[in-house]
Amino acid sequence: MSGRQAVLRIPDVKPELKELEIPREAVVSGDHPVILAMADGLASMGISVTLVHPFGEIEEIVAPLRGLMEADDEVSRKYAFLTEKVSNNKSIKVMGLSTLVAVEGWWGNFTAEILQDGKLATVKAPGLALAYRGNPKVPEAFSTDDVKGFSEFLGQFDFRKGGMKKVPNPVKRIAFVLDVEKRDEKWPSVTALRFGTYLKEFGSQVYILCRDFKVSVDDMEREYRMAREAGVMIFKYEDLPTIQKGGQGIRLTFRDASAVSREKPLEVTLEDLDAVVVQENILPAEEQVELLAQLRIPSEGGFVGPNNPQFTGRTAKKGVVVGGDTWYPEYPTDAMTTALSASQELFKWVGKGTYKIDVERVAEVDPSKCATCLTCYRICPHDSIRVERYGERNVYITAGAKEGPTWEAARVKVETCNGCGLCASECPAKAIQLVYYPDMEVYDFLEGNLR
Amino acid sequence: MSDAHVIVVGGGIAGIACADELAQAGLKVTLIEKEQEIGGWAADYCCKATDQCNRCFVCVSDKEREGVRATSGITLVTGAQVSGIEKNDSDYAVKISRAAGAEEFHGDAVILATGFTPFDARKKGEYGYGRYADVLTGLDLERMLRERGNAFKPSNGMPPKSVAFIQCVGSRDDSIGHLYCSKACCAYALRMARVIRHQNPESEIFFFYMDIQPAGRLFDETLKACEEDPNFHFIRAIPSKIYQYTGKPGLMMRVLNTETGDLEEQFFDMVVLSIGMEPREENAVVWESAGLRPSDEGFLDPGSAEEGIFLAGAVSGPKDIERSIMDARQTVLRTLQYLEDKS
Ligand SMILES: Cc1cc2nc3c(=O)[nH]c(=O)nc-3n(C[C@H](O)[C@H](O)[C@H](O)COP(=O)(O)OP(=O)(O)OC[C@H]3O[C@@H](n4cnc5c(N)ncnc54)[C@H](O)[C@@H]3O)c2cc1C
Ligand code: SF4
Ligand code: SF4
Ligand code: SF4
Ligand code: SF4
Repeated sequence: MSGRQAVLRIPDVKPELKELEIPREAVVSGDHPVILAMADGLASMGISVTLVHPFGEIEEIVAPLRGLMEADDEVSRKYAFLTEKVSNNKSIKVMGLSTLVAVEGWWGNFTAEILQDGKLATVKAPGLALAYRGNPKVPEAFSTDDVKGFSEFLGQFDFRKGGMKKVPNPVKRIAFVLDVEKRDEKWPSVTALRFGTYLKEFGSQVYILCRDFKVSVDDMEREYRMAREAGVMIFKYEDLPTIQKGGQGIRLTFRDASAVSREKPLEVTLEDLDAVVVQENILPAEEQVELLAQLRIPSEGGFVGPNNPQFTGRTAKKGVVVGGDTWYPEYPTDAMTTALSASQELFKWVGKGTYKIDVERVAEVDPSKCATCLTCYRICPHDSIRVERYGERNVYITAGAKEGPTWEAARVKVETCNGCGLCASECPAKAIQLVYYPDMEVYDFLEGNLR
Repeated sequence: MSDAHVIVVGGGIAGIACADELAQAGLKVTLIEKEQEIGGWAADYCCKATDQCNRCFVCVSDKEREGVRATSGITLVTGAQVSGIEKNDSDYAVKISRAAGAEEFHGDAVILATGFTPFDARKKGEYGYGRYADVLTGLDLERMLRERGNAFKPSNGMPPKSVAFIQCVGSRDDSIGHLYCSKACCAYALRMARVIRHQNPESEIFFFYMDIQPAGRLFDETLKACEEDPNFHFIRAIPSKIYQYTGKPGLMMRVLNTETGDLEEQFFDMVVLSIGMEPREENAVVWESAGLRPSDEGFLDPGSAEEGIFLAGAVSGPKDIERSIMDARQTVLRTLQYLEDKS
């Protein structure tokens, strides 16, 4: 039966769920600073962690935060001692100059291939945490030599050498331009405000241009008010500002949307700027795209998703959690919350040292009733439903097979279904039922894989 | 550690998530809730799906609540108001009062997840909440959609044609000492507005706001869908007053005409006040007994808690459901670390 797989259905018989032993271990991989928090969080709970990162020194993991640490005590407090804690923790095996090149397997038994010094090492672990930094790209409309992205701008000072106090020519007039393409990220507002307030102390004139200022971060409303009182100017625009060389530096022109009238718009021109810092689009790291594909974790544009409400940090693949930009670009303190929350999730999978299929029942589509309306596909929070070609009733044709289809219908991926039943309750054709693990091959695979 | 016993105070989504995580880690958990039912405020909210899920997280909260009821290892104590916490070495005595009298529970650690109070819209008298039947709060609309399934004008039961949403009611407002953003109200308002638009294609939404606050990943999709809808109008200004003319139906507001810049009188069928969150002042004695101090925003400062006492959810500042669950999980990790260190 090449290309075909029979689905053995045992609707109402509850299979005996065995409990098997697994080692209390995890692999944490990435280059985002939160990997330190993830490794530390897991290790403090007695999990043996292999920490895979690409740098020569562990300190370099937090290097991208040095600028912010200078301006934001909380970032500094949350990240400062992590390198030390991780280096001193005997339960964490740090593999520097390393890349996670391939990964396969299942909760309970992942196999990770790690490239270090041109040599491949294989590490087995029941759980996996991934947290990569995205690649910042300045949006098209602003890609001129005069403009810097946030990361490039913050990265240009070496704050270990005394921060701004030691910078010979602090910027005099600086503008931050936010919300250029992505409007649902909060980190640019927080970064611009905290860093802008910091620069203000050294006499810089600071302008922040945004569509909506994101005050929905702890303490931001207060700081927003204080920054404005301190003279940080914040404007709202609707149409993107235009940028030109002008006067002694750069000129930004835009219409202030908080002005009262559209007919008599308030044109604002900021001249003689010596720095314009623009919110980059954060593109997914290549490694991340590759690993998510290998793990067959659904992704949209290279990021984990496009699941419906799904617990933060969790992926559709059991035993794999994500943080950092792999989840979503966030301000470092928020990213820390996400990462710790994801670590707790992973701890749940590997902490007990035993493995048991935790979902008793999964959804199953009756293809003869399915009207291919895609309701279930849209609503499944775990992205576990696809439309596939079926040969005959309950026999679907696996991808790439040559046999011609008789019809298309929804199919549940039992490996990732969480048995929540949303699809069954929403299906207009009543084609979905919750059944005990229907596919014995999957069950055998899960169990066999552990041995 | 696994024979440790943790007491979780407050059975909202944050407390539920804590209890669930702790039980899954094999610990003994007692979840104490003041009301007869667990679930907190989120148990009153509606599904905000249109032709697709809009990621409001309410069903996640519903599912967690059901899950926790069925989990062994969690003792539910409902109808029990916690009135104080006493620490003796590493034992924590949580005092409750209930109909049957006072009682005490002992645990190795305590998580406070006592949540928030929705802002009382009557405190902003200029909006006439309580006086005008068709002025609702976001909470009223949540309940209406959850219980009745569709939006209607309380005055006559008819579906509203023009609906105004006023954002930041009770938040970002120095005049009442609330210098914070409530973080959930832009998202819930936009999502419920979409539900109204979806149910009644003739309806029009007027959204009065200062800054739209995103909630979670893929929020841009929700925002775009609203902006592309010709019947959805965004006005970056907060109206100062709602009034009625005697004998005439409908609610009046002075609204900025964004085309001309003039203030004009406009009529609405229904107004929704997007209320935010306030600290639960009635718990002040509990906080004091635990050594907790307010943060700069007026909620509780997690840093001030005594050893072995942790905070989760909106008690430490406004959070939406997703953030409350994340905070709960982060708190559980800290609690487990604390118990691990102690053992
Ligand atoms: C109108 C409105 C609509 C919203 N809609 C959404 C939405 O659609 N999506 C979303 O993500 N978020 C929404 N939110 C935010 C959401 O309400 C919060 O994120 C969530 O309820 C916080 O949960 P919590 O457990 O921290 O607090 P709560 O829900 O307040 O739960 C606290 C619990 O503790 C109990 N308690 C308090 N004191 C004591 C005591 N002394 N002893 C014992 N028990 C006690 C309370 O009875 C309550 O059950 C909305 C908020 C508002 C105001
Ligand atoms: S909801 Fe039902 S009818 Fe629609 S695609 Fe899914 S299974 Fe088929
Ligand atoms: S039961 Fe839930 S997780 Fe499983 S396919 Fe249906 S919606 Fe998805
Ligand atoms: S997340 Fe909200 S909109 Fe989506 S299905 Fe759940 S309750 Fe409905
Ligand atoms: S979330 Fe929106 S409506 Fe709520 S306080 Fe913040 S800005 Fe105002």
